[in-house]
Amino acid sequence: MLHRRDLVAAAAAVPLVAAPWAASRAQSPAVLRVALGSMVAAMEPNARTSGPPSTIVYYPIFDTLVATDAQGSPVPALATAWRNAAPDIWELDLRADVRFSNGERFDAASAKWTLDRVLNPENRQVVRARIATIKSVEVTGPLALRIVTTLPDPILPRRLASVFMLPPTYFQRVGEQEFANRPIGTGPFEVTAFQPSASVTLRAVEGSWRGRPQVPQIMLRSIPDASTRVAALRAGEVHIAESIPPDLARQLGQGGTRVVASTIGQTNLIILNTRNPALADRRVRQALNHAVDKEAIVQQLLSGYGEVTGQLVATNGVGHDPAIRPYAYDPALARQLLQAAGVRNLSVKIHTTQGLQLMDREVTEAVAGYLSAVGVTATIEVLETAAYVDAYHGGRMDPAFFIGWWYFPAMDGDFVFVWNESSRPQSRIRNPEFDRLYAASTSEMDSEKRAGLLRQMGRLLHEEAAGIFLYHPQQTFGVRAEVSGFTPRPDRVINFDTIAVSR
Amino acid sequence: MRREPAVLAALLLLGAFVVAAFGADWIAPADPLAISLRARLRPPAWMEGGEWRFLLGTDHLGRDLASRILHGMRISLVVGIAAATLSALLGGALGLLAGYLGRGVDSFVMRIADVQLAFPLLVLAIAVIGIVGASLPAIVLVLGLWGWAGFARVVRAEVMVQRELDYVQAALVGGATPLRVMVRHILPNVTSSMIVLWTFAVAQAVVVEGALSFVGLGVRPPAPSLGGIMNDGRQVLGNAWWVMVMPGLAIVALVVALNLLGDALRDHLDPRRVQD
Amino acid sequence: MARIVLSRLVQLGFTLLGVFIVLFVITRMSGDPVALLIGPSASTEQIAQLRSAMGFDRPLWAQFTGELLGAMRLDFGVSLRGGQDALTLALGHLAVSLQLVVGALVFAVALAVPVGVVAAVWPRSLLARLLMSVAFIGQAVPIFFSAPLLILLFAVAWHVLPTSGWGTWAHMILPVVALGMVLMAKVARVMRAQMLEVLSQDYIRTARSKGLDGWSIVTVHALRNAMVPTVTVIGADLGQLIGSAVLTESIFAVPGLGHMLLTAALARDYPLLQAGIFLTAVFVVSLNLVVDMLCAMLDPRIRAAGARG
Repeated sequence: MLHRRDLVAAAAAVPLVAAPWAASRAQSPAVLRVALGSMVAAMEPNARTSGPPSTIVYYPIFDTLVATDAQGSPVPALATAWRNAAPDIWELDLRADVRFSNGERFDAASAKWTLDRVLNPENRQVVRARIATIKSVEVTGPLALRIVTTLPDPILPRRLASVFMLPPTYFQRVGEQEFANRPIGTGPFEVTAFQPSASVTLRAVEGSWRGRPQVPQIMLRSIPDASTRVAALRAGEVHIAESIPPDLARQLGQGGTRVVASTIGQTNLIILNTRNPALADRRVRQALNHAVDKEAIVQQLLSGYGEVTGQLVATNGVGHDPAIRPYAYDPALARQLLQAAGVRNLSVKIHTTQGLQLMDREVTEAVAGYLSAVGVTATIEVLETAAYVDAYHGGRMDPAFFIGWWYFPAMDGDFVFVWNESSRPQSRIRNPEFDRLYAASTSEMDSEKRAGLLRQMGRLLHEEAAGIFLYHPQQTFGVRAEVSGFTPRPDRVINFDTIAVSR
Repeated sequence: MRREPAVLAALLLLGAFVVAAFGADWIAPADPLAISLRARLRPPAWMEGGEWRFLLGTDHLGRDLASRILHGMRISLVVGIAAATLSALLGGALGLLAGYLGRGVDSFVMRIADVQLAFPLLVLAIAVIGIVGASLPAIVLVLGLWGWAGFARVVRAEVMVQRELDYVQAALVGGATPLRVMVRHILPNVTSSMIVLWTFAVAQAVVVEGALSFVGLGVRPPAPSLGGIMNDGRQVLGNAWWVMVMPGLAIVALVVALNLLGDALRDHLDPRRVQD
Repeated sequence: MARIVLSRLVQLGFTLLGVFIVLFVITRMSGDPVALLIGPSASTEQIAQLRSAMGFDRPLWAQFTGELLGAMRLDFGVSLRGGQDALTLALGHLAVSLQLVVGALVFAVALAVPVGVVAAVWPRSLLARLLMSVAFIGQAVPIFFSAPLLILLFAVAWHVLPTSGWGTWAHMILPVVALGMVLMAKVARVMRAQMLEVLSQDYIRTARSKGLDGWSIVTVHALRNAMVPTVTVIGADLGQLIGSAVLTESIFAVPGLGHMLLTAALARDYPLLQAGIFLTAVFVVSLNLVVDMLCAMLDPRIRAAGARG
């Protein structure tokens, strides 16, 4: 409902003759300024958004029970240890002496409250999908939790990396709306100003278990246009800019700016519908893999910000098999295979988004070009994101489409292999052996054996050429020379705790 | 008009444009769709690193820019002309009805115009293309639907003035039906201003198609359009300016020429007519 | 007079209803927001659950009447992505858009009116054609070209203005200039046409034949008479301009209504989309009402026709 104070607030959006812009630029260097591609619309972390770049905003303020390190392994955060007491029971020990920034104590009861809140379907929490295997959460001590899953879940701790812990007392006192504007968490920063979808200002606080960060203040704002983001970095208006497209990244590297890049937990590939008669023969799909010069795509089109691959999981995730080599670029072999399979006049339409992933459309165009060079009639169809997501979940987009499958923050291959399990409508492959392996992996509690199963699945998908494997993308940040201590993480989060800004 | 060098130049330019665009298949030096990643972002031939094979350089996928621009001119012109014509037909018909019949019909048409004006182009495009899919006819439909209100408003105002004039009264007294009066008598008199508006509408459609490309709703790749090529070149503006500037020059020339022509047509047809 | 306003209010009601129906139909036909909100990691059951929790599995007529009744109470619900009241959010963005668009119009008028005047006083001269061409170039150059260039020049190279954002006078300059350049073509053209119309009228010719100085005729009489219809015509397009400013807002990170509508449409954030388009419709119709009244007062032919028809 519209209230009068809302009208006043709306009118206050009029810019008054505020402090001259030039003066604000010469501000104290102690404010770290960051430009993101978009800004969250509300501050309750688990509720309405998932994935980057929203998580960049939440991590300074909140914590999860389990976190991920730079190599992709789960590390303790608000949970210090976890054990598998029975196939469907996980026990967690929680960190002692942790307080929210308003003084409220963090303990097992508050952790249970947060998890229950996410799990309750009425709360419509988007993150619920990630921990849907949880049946119940029990408090077994002031700092001890028992989580019961519906079926044995070997990767539950990794799943918990997606759920941020909230303060129940404060939340229930102020309510959902107010919390969405003035959040409280266990992290070393708190929010001092928040403009939904535009900007947020954070201030370092005392008493966080993560210690005192080096920067006293952070200002994150949304600059949706990539070239404007880069311009802001070059002009010195921001210290860090996320998600720099490869061609724009060439503008950095001099004049006090540099590019920081690292491989994230994601794979980009062209899914091939193996159930389409034109692509049913494995040789055809392998031919398509050999037809594409992936190295050229990564080196030329992506300026090297990617790792050519032949599988779904990179070295930073569970299920990576170092023995799987990418399909070699061999157009002659591709033609041979097509001929051997008796294919003439193969026509492939590749669906793609524009702008959902960096260079999605351009890479798809390049792939279409390579396919055309071996005699395949390749066309592309650009879909708007909403139409694409709809078609994806509906099992449409025949016979091929570009996709970026990611498996962070859990850094486990399960999150990408699941899409190939034949009971899912999104799956384009029906392979009983794969289904068998997958089913086994979801209940295999021994991590070594399970990793072996995942590697087997990876090999199977590779040999079946279930898609045109392309590359693991890298995230690219533009960073100014004054910034130090910036280490990118494979889950696309910026760790502000270690960053310092010099003059 | 013949004594005006500027307008003559505009006409010549447009003529050259049309010839180049529709002769693209023969004139273009290379296949506009041929990708070569190793040849990407080559500068124009006269610059260092350029080659005569790629007269105006290459784009981000190594495709010959000159060929793409020639083919793009054709597609942009086709889209522009078709969209402007659709707007003119739709807007002209509705404006005629509204202006002549007045009262209820006028009110109804104007309300529809208001409804359409409340929808920004991109929202309309997302909706229409979300339903019918991206294709050349869909883009023409979107642009045509977006522009009809301007035609309707102008035609309606003119018809309301014409309706009161003597020749119309005479025709009615002579037993002509309203439809006959609208089509045989009034319509020819508003055609001239519609033609003028039409030239402006073509120019606008060509530019606005670029806006559609900005959100991925433009002409389906890899088919080139002038706006689409410019949009592709956005991220390389710093190190490969020619990808944006070359098609940009083509658009500027086309739009300026069309606008000049429209103004000159208006001067020629009736310098005293009130335009929008 | 009061009757006109009253009848226009009724018309506003019909327009809003029409807008509402069209919006409902096209949003429901082009996909639902649930899959977008929940992200790609969800299963089909989870998507179905969320859809049910949000009420999107109710029969269409139930959704329609529910939303329509809400809209009549000015309650459009909350933004699906952020949970804030949709109308309040849209109002805030509208305020920003208005500043941008009005600023751009002022800029365009300041530059293009002189051009239009000169082009009308010497209508077929080379100078006139060249000046008009310069104005047309503003429309021809797509804004996603001119805007980044402006940013590169003024913000990155010369450091005199900010690259993006909104909040101070300095932030307004580049977006206003970029958008204003696009509007120049239309302003110049309308100004020229109106000036030509006025200059050809009898009383001007009479004044000329009486020997009054050419320049004073132009500045004192013609310009004044031509300005009003020009401004009303341009003002009538203000509503559409708000939507057209979307690219400017995206590139300069200006939190305006155009950009908000675009992201809401892309994300299928129905409540926000409805609230925003509703506001635009109210704005467009109100503006049309004002413009029509002004036109009727000024142009006796239309006034007479209106009285008769």
